[in-house]
Amino acid sequence: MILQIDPGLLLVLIRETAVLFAIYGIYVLSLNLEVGYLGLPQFGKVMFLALGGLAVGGITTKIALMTYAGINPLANIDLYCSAQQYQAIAAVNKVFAASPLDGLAFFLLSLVLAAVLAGVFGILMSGPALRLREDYLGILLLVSAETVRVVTTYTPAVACGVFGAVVPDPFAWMGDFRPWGYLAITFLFLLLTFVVMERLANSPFGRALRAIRDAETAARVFGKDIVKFRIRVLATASALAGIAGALLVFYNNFVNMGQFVPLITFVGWAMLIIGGMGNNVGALAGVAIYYALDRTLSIYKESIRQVINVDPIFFQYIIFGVVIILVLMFRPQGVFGEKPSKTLSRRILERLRGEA
Amino acid sequence: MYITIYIAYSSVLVRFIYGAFFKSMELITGVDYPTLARAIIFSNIYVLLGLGLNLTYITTKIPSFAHGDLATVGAYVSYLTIIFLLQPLGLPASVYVTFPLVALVTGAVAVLTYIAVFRPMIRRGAGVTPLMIASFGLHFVMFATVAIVADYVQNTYGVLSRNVLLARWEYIWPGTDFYTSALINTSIMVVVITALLYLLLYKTRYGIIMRASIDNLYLAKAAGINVERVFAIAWLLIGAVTGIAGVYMAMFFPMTEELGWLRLAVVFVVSVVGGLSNIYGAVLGGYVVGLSLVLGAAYILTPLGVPTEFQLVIPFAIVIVILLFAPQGLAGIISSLAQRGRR
Repeated sequence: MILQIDPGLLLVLIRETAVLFAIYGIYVLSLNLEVGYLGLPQFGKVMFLALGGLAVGGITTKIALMTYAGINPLANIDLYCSAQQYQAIAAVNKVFAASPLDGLAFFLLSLVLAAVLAGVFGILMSGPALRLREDYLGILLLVSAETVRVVTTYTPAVACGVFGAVVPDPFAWMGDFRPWGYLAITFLFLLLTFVVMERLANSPFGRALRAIRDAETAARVFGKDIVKFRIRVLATASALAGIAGALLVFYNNFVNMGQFVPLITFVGWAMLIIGGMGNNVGALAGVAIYYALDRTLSIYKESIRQVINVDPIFFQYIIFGVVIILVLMFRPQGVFGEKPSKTLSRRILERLRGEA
Repeated sequence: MYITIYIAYSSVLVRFIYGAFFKSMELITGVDYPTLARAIIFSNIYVLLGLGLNLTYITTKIPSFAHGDLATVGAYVSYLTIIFLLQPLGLPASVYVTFPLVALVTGAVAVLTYIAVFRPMIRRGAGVTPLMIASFGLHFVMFATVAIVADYVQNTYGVLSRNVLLARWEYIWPGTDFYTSALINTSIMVVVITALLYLLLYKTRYGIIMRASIDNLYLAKAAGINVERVFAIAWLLIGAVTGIAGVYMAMFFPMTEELGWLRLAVVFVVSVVGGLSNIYGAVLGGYVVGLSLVLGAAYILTPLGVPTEFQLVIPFAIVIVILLFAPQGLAGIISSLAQRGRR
């Protein structure tokens, strides 16, 4: 049952999937830092993605509107959200199309703000993370994420509430190459995140994290300050998730705070579990496996419909559910298990010893 | 003849008692009857859902993410039974006729999830987080299975299978409206189910065995109790209670495959507010959450001009405060206060 697909369309499909892969790659890598290395039951991950989206859709978009279009959306938020959004954003886009520098400045400002906002929330969450037991902490994070979603979705001033906010395109100057350009940018960020995570995981810091996860008391005996480590990890991972959220919003050029449902947290978990916790390559492999299956099923959607007349998306859920359970039962380490952390190669170590 | 007179008499009596009770409540608290009725109905539903979740927590040490889906299964079993069994056979179409089947099917599903997923994982020594994630995988499977059944029924038989309300098949007490009847019925359900659970746990041999297994797993095992079988039966109870709660949920929330999942966060709040490790904590938590949700929306948010969609923030705020300052829940606080008082 080979489907005839137009090669041009296939290329577009692969490109769009690759962008999502890069964005969710950053998201799952940051989840891996919390879950895989520190053992935190992070069931509120989507909250930080939402805060990244909020920074763009709710804050920097308004700044851009005031700076480049001279419109203050807060003056009459209801009118702006329901009627003026598209024209106002088009005016801003025109500025960005003419001046790449303004666009890039807006993009960088958005990312920095997203990282800071999410990072600060991450630090706030580390308070309970130090005190509560695993199951209660999971519930608290889940409920906090839901609170953020409910509050931001039903407050129009944040990001136009249920209408959703249109976001200016900082890469309007790229013209027809915009999709490819954005792919390059997201991959650049993914690469950066991956390198940082790998360095972090193989540094003394990463080894200390694993020590805390596996034997908290022992780590404490060896003088590791657990509080400090947890705060740092939560801040870093949350800031990265915030960046992923901002990138997601720029990909859609639109954000509706209601889209950040708990499901996204668990999709991230599913990717991580399948790929392998405590292994950055595994985390990315999990994202790749998820999207490979997702896209394959969506290509064969109509063929499946002819066999049994139900929406094939649900088979995908069942497959993922079963895979998660089976992986947890029979291969808890995932496809790529956790590897011993890399230290210096023996040659260099011997040379260093010789010098000493 | 006598039966009709009896029903008419009792319904008049019920109406009188309820009318007098709520009239006086209205006078005392200044809360109007429809809002109060809704508040109590939702509280009752949340109590039933919380009871199941607490039993889940006691037997597997995790709050299960698949709990809401048990309620969804219950609602769909009830609906499909009415459509495909009761109506074609000309039997009285009432949700109460379907309750035995609902309890049986949802109970069987719950036992199946315990035997197929939780028990093997616990045997392998899985921790809390892997178990919770596994329960989430279970949510995916159950949610999608219900959706596929709903799709199939709709496409094959042309029966509307989403956004239905089961309220049409609720038993209406003569001379009352739907809300009053739902109020009476859900209250009776909560009383009956908590009483049955109490009798089962405190007055039967099984209850003694079960409480022993809950209290001290290893001691119970050493005493020759088959703890896993005891817990499997507990899961039958979990499924039955949750399935029935799901039927009531579907009277007020449109029935879709996400019926239970969308309200799961609130059920978690119920259990945590009451205290997860105490079965009757759910009763307390259910009323705190249900009353604060509905009454808070009507009497705090609306006068302040805050949209009612914000009502979910009320229980979330309560649970965040409780988790930060008293993670053992209200039941834990009360029992520790009682112990201090006894001393």
